[in-house]
Amino acid sequence: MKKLLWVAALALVAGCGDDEKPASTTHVMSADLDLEIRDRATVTIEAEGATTNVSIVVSKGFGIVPEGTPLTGPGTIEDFPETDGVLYTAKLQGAAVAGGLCGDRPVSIGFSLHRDEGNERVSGGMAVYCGAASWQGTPVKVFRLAGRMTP
Amino acid sequence: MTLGRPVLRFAAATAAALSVACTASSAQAQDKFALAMFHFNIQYVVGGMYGYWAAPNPGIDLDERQIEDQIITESFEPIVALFERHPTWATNLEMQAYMLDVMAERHPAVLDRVRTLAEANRLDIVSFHYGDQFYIAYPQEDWERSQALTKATFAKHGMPLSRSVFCQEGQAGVGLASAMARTGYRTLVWPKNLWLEQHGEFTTQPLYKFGDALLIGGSRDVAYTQGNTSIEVRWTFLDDGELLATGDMNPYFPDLFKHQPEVVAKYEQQLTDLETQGFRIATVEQYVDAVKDKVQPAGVPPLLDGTWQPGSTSGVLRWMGGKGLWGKDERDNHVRTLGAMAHREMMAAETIAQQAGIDANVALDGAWRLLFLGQVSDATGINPFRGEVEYGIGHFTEVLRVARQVIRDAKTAMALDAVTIDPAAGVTSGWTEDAPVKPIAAPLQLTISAGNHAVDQVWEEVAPGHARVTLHFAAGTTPTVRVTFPAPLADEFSTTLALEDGQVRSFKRSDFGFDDFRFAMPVGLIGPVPGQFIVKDQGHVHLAATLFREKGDVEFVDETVPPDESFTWVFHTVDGTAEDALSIARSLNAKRRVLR
Repeated sequence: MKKLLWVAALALVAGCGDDEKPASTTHVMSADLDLEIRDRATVTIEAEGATTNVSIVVSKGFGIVPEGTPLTGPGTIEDFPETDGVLYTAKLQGAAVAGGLCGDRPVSIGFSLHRDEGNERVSGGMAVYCGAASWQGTPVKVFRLAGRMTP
Repeated sequence: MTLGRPVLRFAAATAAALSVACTASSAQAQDKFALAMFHFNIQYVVGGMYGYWAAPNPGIDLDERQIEDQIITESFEPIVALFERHPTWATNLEMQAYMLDVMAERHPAVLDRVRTLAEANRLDIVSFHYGDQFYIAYPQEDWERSQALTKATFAKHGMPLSRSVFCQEGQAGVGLASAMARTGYRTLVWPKNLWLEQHGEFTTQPLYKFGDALLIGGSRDVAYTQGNTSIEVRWTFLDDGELLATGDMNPYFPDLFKHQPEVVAKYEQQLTDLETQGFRIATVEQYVDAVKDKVQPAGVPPLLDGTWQPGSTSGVLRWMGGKGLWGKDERDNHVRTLGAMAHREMMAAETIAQQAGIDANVALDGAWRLLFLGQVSDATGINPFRGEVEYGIGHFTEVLRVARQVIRDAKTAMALDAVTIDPAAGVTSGWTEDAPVKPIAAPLQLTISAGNHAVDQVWEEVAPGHARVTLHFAAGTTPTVRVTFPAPLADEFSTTLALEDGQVRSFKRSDFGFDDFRFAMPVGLIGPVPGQFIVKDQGHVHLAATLFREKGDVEFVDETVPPDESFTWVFHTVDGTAEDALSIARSLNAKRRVLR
């Protein structure tokens, strides 16, 4: 039922004279997660060094977020040393959805997923705020996300 | 001719004042009261019905807003209309403050009508928390913030806030007394079954002294005569408010959850008959005002925190480890521990934001609000379906996201990379190591029932008299895991209670009638015998503790363990004073020091 992708790309730039760069590792996690239980969100988290980017495509936008097109933005991967957990977050942006809860305004989406220990299971949500670059305050909707994503 | 709203309000208020005066006059002679508490929960199906059934069904797949709207139109408005029709009647409508926000946004006309009746003392709007949160399981700080938002929300909407208290799931505890007095409340309506569970049958007194506040027995009729004083109380309703106007239907059946005028008419006739018999259809506060100078408030016996139907929910277990109808989708420990983590992160974020001098108020205020919504009891009980479970999780992870953003912003402002954030002491650069722990042999022989989850048990000494046990459970499929801490049987036991994180209360088993009792432990502490304490690390394990009358053991059980996931429970044991144990519990669960 759920697509699982585990792509770890290791890009090594070997010693090449003046253009030498430190070894860099790109870690990509991707999975189809359950969105609002019955629908799908294809989540891709790509981390390279200290930079994380997140992309989400939802199969249904519920009149709030655009569906079928990638919602993208910068993210973070942070741990909880006191509980052995990981939090994946991102600030995503989406175009206005005509007739939607945010009217003619674009949407800002706070994406968050929590993983406990090393389990494949992740769960969290997408909190939708009306307006551009506004990832705080009172969201008009918190979409629920859950499923399996290989760490 | 159309009367303007202010004129209508004046007319209504005048009529109400006259009727109250007349009713009060007759009440002085008869002192007969008909009371009710309509407990409304706009988060009844939290997150909405979408996803409840596997197959799409447009008539049932209502989203969160549609369910909220239906609660207002089908079950709430008919009750408001009922009391509009009878200027001599008054009653209590209890709700989370969030429900006012919903009405203001999408049902402003209903809100206006409620306000008009509330200003005329014909409705008393009772609210003790912003979301219908399971506050007896969380540190006091969360409720303090929630209550402050409740007050602000009532003020924002111009709605008078009742001085009475009744709560989601009938949550009650004696720690509420001082919190109520401090924040302007006066009368707690104690759910009768929470009393009966602890002490058995009793003769209900008209009024009880409850610390600096007062208490009455919810849904307990009173027939009191002392000298020339005679007081009679009939409870006409104390239940989910959604049920009355819909003929006992609830919003999980949106196609059937409809206003049934005939059942409202039947209730209306019941009240009419009582009024004819000389009963005043009154609010709790009107009742208390009328009797407080006529009776000496009785004392209350020792009472423990709990909820309103402990017999059918095994106390608080149903929200903290017990499974319901859809048990395979429940994740009680996951949801409640995530709530504890969100609390910790908010405390850390506030601490560092303040020290960094950054303005994070909008972010933090929004996140606190989401925390109150996410702490909703329905995410773990009584019979949560998957959507409700994930509502709690989704709200908590958003709280964590916002709090982490604030922490990052503050670190940037302070030009710090790694920081130790201690809500009790402030922020320091780098990580301040704890004193090293050392592995020790198990000082207690735990009884662990974990089915096919392989268990790794590690004991460490944190300090003399203070040990930590880490129980790592490998992934398995057994849904029920049980851990029992042995303890000798003693009459005295101790714990902390809701809304009073600062003290440990001692009780005697012999003062109660229960065979076993479940504790929510808001900062995680329970002492089965004097001088011995168990403390949950609530980021790992936040389940109910069961205490027994005839044995000293303390049991923790989770019947909602998800398959194929590893998990870890961490407990601390303390041999020492209650103050020692409380200090450890608060540092773990109320004001946790974290590295970020």
